Amino acid sequence: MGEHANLEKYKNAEYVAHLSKAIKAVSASLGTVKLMHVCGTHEHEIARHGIRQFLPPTIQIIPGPGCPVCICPVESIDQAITLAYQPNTTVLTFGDMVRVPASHESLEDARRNGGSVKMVYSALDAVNLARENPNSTFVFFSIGFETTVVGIAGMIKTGIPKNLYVLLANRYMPPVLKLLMDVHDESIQGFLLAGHAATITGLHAYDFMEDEFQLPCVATGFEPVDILLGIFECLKLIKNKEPRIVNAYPRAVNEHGNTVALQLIEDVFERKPGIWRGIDIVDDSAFRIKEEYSFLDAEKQLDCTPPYPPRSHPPGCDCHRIMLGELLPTNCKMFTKTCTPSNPYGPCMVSPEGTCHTWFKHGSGKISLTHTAAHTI
Amino acid sequence: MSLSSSTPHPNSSGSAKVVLGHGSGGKLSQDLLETVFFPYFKNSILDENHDGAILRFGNQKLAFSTDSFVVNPLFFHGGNIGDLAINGTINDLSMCGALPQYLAASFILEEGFPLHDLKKIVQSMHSAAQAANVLLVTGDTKVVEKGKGDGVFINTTGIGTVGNSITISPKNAAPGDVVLINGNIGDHGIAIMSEREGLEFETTIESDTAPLNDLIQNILEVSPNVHVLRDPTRGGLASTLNEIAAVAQYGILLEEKQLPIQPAVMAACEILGLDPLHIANEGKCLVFVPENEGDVVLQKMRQHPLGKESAVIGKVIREHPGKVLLRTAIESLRMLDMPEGEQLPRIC
Repeated sequence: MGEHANLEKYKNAEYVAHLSKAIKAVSASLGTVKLMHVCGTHEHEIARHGIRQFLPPTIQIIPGPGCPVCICPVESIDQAITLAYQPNTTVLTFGDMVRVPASHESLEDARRNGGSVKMVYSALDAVNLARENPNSTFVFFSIGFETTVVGIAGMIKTGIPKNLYVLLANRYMPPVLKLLMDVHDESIQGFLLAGHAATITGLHAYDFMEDEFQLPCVATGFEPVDILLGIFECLKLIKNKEPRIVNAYPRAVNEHGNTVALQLIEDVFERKPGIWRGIDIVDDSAFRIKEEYSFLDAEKQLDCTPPYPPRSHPPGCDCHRIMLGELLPTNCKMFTKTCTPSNPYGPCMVSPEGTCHTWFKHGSGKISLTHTAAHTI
Repeated sequence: MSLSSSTPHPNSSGSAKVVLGHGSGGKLSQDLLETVFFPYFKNSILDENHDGAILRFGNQKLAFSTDSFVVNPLFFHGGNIGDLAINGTINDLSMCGALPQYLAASFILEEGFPLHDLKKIVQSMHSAAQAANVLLVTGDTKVVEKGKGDGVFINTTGIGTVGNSITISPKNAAPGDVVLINGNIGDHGIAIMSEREGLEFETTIESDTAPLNDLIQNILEVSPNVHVLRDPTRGGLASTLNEIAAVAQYGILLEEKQLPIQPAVMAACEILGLDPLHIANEGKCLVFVPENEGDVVLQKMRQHPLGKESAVIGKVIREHPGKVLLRTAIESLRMLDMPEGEQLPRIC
């Protein structure tokens, strides 16, 4: 696996130590700085590798609404559940989605109660299943940001079997940054942009951050060295008062994005205002299937209206405030007590990309060891 | 219906039901033992919390262990349910420091299962038992109606002799002990996963299923002072080390850089979002020995065909009793917890 070997240098302890020093130096005169990332994978990797241990206490990295499973509107999951109960109909979706609590139950509960729900690894699996079972109806419940929506666009464009429909709940990240600026009353001083999303959109989708808000944003990769580099670049921009959009992940991201992918998205989808679970309706942030392809749009072709009103978060759940970066999981009274990955109360505890799940699994605090114990084998 | 009642907590009474996670080898399995089984079966032998029971008959010590196998698929790269069932019990006995001698096997067969496949499974069991030098001396067969089983379920039970001087137990882990493993981790779980889900990687990942009795006897020859032996099966290294840390009430510090993982397994884990430390192994053992015996044990392990990739991967510390710490490849520290729920169900 040559590609794996290539990634090794981005996990190099020496580079990490070097960047850690550089971050200390560049932030020395800055006081407290709050940076926000908007990607579940960023939080996962930050916690898994203990990245916060390499930052001075004045630099706070706040997890934002970056977990696609967590922000998926409850209305859409309710629709998927409604479809799962229909005769001869199977809902196909990604693993994480199955366990997310919706208004009354999760897709997993629906399966236990007689609904038909299957886990797939890709949109292609959905096409294959539909082809192999031409007499059954399949609905691919699609979630995710601009990164995953490309695959769905590709699938739709190449043509899918007649018995396969798409229930689309994908969201577009850039507009939510505006909302975050309002919520945080400008206390956030910079954003780390999700490298894979920027690979598709390029950097210009975020130009408004420079024009309207004069706030630095840095497209950031996912290995420890990538993440620290993103943080360093962002701090450097803050220090130099240069509110630009910068690419710290050039091995994947280019300024103009993936033009083929962008064209595919444009061909198949349009964007409308859309709900982000527990957050708000965000303008221009929901992908919708274009009229031309409405024949495969589950919302238009199948009866997916649930017989109950939506309830987006259960009483006492702080997930929505955690997704907004207003609270940390450790501020929630239920965290690790009545809300755990095996018994999740809110969406952030379900997906491995959810902030609560990540903090539960990998912890968040610094761990100390005495010198003798700390000695490497 | 309220949200909380739609996802019943396995511990809550009344409506609680068995969930797949109860079979994961992680936290939920531990809960099940502590809340359902231990309160009824409590006795001094069971309380040892070992892979098998140590029984005393006069001057003779015997190890006694049982294991059931429900793997899906039945046939996978590197083995099938048959050799897995033999090796599993041999390894449980070996982890008690025992020399496995005799096995019993019970089969639950589903109506309609091809006899041809059953023969293949039995043939593998025969070869595995022969390779490990154990005799299968008794057994039982039951058949259930079609749809009430999943082809074949196998239970194996074994008995072995334990040298009088040998006292291996998770309780014996002591500060300063080094922790060794006999090779690459995660192979079995990923082999099953790729087979089941039809995932294709550049290299075929094979299960590591193997009998560890000979390797263990070699280790005991050079280090009769072995403190702990444990095979990290379901729940992977993270579960097994957490169990040992909890029983011993010391901390365990694991070094990510020293962990032997083959690149294909690492890549599969990255793609699937799995942690190799949570993935099952079927031919691996963790060996805790006093620091001064670490080198000689490592050398002996590396000389064995099942220990070529052996490595020292951690040590027992006084700090953080009951916890497992991981020093990551970039020299940060984090807690390594037991996996919650199942990562991959029915892997053994």
